[in-house]
Amino acid sequence: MKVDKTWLAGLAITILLIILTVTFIAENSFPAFKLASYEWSAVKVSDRMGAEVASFMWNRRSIDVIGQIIVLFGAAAGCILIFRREGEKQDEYA
Amino acid sequence: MLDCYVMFSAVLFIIGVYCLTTKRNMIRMILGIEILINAANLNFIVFSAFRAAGFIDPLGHSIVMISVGLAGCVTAVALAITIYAYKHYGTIDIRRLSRLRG
Amino acid sequence: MFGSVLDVIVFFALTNPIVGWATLKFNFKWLCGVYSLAGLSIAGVELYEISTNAFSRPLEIPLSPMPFESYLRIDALSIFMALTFIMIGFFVTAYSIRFMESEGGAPLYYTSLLLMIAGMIGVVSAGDFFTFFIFWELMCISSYVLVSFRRRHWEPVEAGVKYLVMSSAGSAAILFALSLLYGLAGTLDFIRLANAMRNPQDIWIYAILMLMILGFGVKSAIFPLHTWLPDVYSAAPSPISAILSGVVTETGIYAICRVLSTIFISLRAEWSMILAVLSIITMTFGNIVALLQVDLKRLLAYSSIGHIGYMLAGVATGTPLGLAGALLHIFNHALMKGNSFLCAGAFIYRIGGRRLDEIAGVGRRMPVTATALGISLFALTGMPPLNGFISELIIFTSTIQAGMIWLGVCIILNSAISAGYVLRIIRALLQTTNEDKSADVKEAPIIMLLPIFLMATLVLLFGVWPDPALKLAMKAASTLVLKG
Repeated sequence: MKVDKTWLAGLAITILLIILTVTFIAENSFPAFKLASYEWSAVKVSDRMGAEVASFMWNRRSIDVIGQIIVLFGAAAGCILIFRREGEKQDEYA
Repeated sequence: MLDCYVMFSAVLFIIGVYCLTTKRNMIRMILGIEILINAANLNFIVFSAFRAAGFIDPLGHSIVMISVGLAGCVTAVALAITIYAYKHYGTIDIRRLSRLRG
Repeated sequence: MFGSVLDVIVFFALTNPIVGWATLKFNFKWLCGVYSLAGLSIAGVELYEISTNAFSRPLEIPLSPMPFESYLRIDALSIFMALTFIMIGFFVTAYSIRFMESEGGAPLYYTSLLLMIAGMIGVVSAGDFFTFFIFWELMCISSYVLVSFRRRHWEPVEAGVKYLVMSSAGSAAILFALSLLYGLAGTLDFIRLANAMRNPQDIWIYAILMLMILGFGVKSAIFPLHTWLPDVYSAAPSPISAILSGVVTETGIYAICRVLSTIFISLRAEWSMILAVLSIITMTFGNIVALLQVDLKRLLAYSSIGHIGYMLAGVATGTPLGLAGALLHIFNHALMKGNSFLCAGAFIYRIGGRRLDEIAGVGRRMPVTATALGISLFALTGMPPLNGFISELIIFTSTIQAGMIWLGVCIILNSAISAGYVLRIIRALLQTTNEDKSADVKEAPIIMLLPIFLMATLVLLFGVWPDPALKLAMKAASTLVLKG
C-alpha cells in the first residue's frame, strides 16, 4: 500500500502541535478579561435574549452590518464576473 | 472550564491548518479554511459567555454573526475559481497545478 | 454614513452595472470607465475637504462612541494612506479604459476595482478592530476576483487559487488573534485597547503577537510567506498588478504599524528585533532572486518583495523618523512600481510578450513608454534626483538613529544589488537586434500613455521637491505612538 510521505509528515507535526498547545494552555490558564476595564452592555440569559442581541447589533454595530452587506454584494458581483458568458466555446480552454 | 473551551478551539485551529496544508483535493482545502474561521468564531462565543455568570456579552455574538457571512463570501469566490481550475487542468488535485515554478 | 469619501466610492461602485446597461443603448464603450473616473475624482475632492479639519482633530463617525460601538476614526495617517490609494486608483482606472477594452465584463470589473479601493480606504479609517477586519475582507475578496479576471487562460486561475488559499488562511489567523484579544481585554477599539494593554505581563500576548505577524505577513509578503506573490503579479492583468503591488500589499504594512502601536507598545524590544531580522531576510531574498529572472513582470514582483523589506526596516526601528520613512516609501513605491507595471502592460499590449528577450529593442519604437519605465526603474534603486532616494535615505538615517547600523548597511547593499537587474532591463530596452522582432510596433495608445506620463512626472517631481509628501508623512507618523 503506497503511503503518501507528505501526509504522514503532516499528521506527525499536527499531533505534535496539538500536544504542545494543550500543554501550553493547561500550564498558563487564560486570564479571561483581566485587562477589561471599560463598561459593557450585558444581556441576561432568558427567552428574550435573541431580540436583545439583535437590537444591540442594529443600534450599536450598524457600521459593521452595512459593511457586511457591501461585502456580500461585492462577492456576488465577483462571482458573476468570474462566470460571465461571452461566446464561450469548449475548445478554448488550453 | 474556560480553559477546556479555549483548548478545544485551539485544537480546531490546528486541525484546520492540517487540512489546509496536507490535503490534495481543492474542495477539502476550502473546507479547511472554513474550519479555521469557525475556530475563531467559537472562541468569540466562549469569551462572550464567560464574561459574567448568567449574562452574555452581545459584542461577541454580533461579531460572530457577521463573521459567518464573511466566511460564506470567501467560500463562494473560492469555489468559483476552483470550477475554472477544474476546467483547465481536468483534476482538482492541487499538486497538479504546478506549471508556474521558479 | 461612512463619511463622505467611502460613501461616494461605494455609490459609484454599486451603480456601475446600471451604467453598464446604459452603454448598450448609447454605444459608448468607455462609459463605465469614465463614470468610475468621475467617482474617484469626487472622492478625491471630498478627501481634501475632510483633511482640512481632520489633521488637527481626528474625525469620528459616530461622534463620541461607547467602548462596544463600531466607529470610523479618520486621522492624519488615514488621510495620507487614502490619498495614495485614490491617486493610484485614478491612474489605474484611466489606464484600464483602453487596456481592458477587448475583454468583456467591463461594468463589473470597475465595480470590483472601486470596491477594492473602498475596502482599502475603510481599512485605514477603521476605529476598532472588527470594522477593520470587515473592510480587510472586502479588499481581499475583490482582489481574488480581479486576479482571476481572465479565466480562459490557465495562468491567472492557478495564481488565483494559490493566492486565495494563502490569503484566506492569513485572514483566519488574524481573526483568531482578534478573538484572543477580545478575551483578554473585553473591547476591540484602538484607543481603549491601547489604554488597557499598557502592562500586560502575560505570556498570551506573545501568542497574539505571533498570530498577528503571521496573518499580516501573508498579505504583505514577508519572507517565508511570500510564495504567492511572484505568480500572482505576473499572472494578473497589468493594471491589477500595478494596484496590487502599489497599494494592496502595503496595506499589510500599515496594519502591522497600527497593531504594533496600539497593542504591543510594551514589547518594543522584542518586535523591533524580530522585524529587523525579517526585513533583512526579505529584502536580500527579493533583490537576489530578482537577478535571476527573465520575465519582466516576475522580476518586478521580486523587486516588490525587496521594497517591502525596506519598509519593514523602517517600521522595525521604532522611531517616528523611521515610521515616517516607511510611510513615505509606501507612497513613493506605489508611484514607482505602479508606473513600472503599467509600462510593462503597455509592452504586452503592443508586442504580446513579456520576457526580456521578447521586448528587446522596443525602447526605440515606443520612446515615451521606455523613458517612463527608465525613470521609474532608476527611482527604484534610489538614484538621487528621484523620489526613491528620499525615502530610502530617511529609512537609513533612522536606522543609524536607532542604533541598528547593520540594518542601514543592508539597505545600502540591497540598493546596489537592485541596480543589477535595473540595468539589465534598460539594456534590454535599448538593444539593437538583427532580427527586428519589434518592427511594426507603434507607441502605446494615448489613453494608456497619459497615466504613464503623469506618474513618471510625479516620480520626478517628488524627487526634486519632496516637501509636501514628506510633511504629510511626518504628520501621519506622529499620530502613531511607538514608545510606551
